[in-house]
Amino acid sequence: MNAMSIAPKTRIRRLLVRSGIIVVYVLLVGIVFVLGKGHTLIVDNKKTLESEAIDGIVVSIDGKEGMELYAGDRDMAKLKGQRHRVSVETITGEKKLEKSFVLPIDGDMLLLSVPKLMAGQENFLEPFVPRDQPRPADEQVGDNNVFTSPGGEAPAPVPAP
Amino acid sequence: MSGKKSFGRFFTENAVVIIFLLITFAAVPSSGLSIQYIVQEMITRLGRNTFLVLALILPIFAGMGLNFGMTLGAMSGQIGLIMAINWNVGGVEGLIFAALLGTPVSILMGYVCGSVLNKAKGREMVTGYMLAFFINGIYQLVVLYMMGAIFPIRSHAILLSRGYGIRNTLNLDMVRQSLDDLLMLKLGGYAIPIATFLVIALLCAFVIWFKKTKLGQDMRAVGHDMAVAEAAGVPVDRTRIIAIIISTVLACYGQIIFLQNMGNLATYNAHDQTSFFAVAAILVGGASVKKATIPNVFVGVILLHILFVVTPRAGQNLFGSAMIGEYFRQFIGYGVIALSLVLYAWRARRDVLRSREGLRGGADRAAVASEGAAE
Repeated sequence: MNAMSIAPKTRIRRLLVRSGIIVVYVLLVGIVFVLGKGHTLIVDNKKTLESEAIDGIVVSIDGKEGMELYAGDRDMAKLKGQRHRVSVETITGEKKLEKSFVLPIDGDMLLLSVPKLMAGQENFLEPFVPRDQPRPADEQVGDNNVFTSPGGEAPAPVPAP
Repeated sequence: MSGKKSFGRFFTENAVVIIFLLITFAAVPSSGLSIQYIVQEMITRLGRNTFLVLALILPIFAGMGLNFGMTLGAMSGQIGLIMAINWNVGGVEGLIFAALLGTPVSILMGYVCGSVLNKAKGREMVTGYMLAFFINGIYQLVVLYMMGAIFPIRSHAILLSRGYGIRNTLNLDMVRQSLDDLLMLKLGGYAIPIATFLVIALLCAFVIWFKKTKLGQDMRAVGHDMAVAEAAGVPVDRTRIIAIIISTVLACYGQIIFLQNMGNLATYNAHDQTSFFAVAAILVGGASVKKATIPNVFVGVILLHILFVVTPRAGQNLFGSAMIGEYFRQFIGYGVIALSLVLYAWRARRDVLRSREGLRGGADRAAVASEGAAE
């Protein structure tokens, strides 16, 4: 059956179904992206301009094993998805605070300031840009095939002893 | 006499499997590896490789031989994974994300491959092999020069220091064994990745179901005789293209499953030998260019990988060098493919000769009968 013999109604319906499938597919990609998007959260217990660091607390994200932090400490958590819950307890187990927060979709690395959080400030979460992060060196050429080895250079010859 | 004949027939039909079993039985004791270790390795490798090998069944069913073009699907899967790492999407969601991104690419690749193979009917295997080399060049161009320059890459960790091109090796920590660990069963000292096996079981069910559908029956007809299928109204070219598209998409998923288990991605050559080892596995399992079943896949993966596990150690123990075992892997892989193809060609020629002899015999009998009637 060629395209000319298809009735216009059928053609439109077919087009609509195909467009619908594409839209659903793109939506599915979006949903999976949001659900699986990973974030690195730096949990920071250093004093800020407005608030002092807290000595001896346990910070737990999403009920996972807590991070024990003393004044000036910093720890890191790997998170997946956007919505999370942070809870802060004292070393002795006394609950001090529990709060939900949403991570921005485009933020790969964020800093959660515990002093700001405890002081009730809304800006306790901010993007974190590591300073002077050294770029990892490119790998040495793995084989003799220059074409398949990025950098396109053979390793420098080792001088004879 | 007939016993001898039937033994001979059995040997020629299963020569590859028998030879492989003999080599394996000889190599296992020399390796000194415990049975428990080998069994655990087999469980892991079954989960890692079976999906890829299953991707070969439908093209064989459609009479297109061993799909060496499955490498195209593997490249698509890798592009999906690179994007998942780039956008920092991890866990099972990262794998699904990679599969969703890889699917359209693999459909396109499958269409290209199927269309080219339709122009080279009867020479599909060598054409697919060459096509994989050609598309590999395009893949290298995209990944080495266009990513970061034309296609934006967010993650500097995967970019080369010059600012474009992807690094030689990518760490897949974000998705590492996320499917395997989703449902890991510890049983009698063995770790069994149930989720991975469920995915494989689903694919097996799909293959069985697909063969019973109208399209599946069309593929069977095309595989049996293209001219007859064409005369019966089966769209031969379209059916063959669909078979290759399905195989390429499955190879894309298979490569994602393979790489999540490995935990790292050799960006520029992880796909190089995907088809080679998958083809070797299915042939070792007793499949041929014309016929392959699901049991062939499982038997093949187990046998090939037992040998892969034991040969380096056997080489070390027997010759004092593990490299001998490594060499043996390559030698065995290529050897099995060559042996299968030679045996297939030999069997096909033998069958033609037999049928010709049968026809001649029939003609002689007919001549005798007609002479008798005349007398």
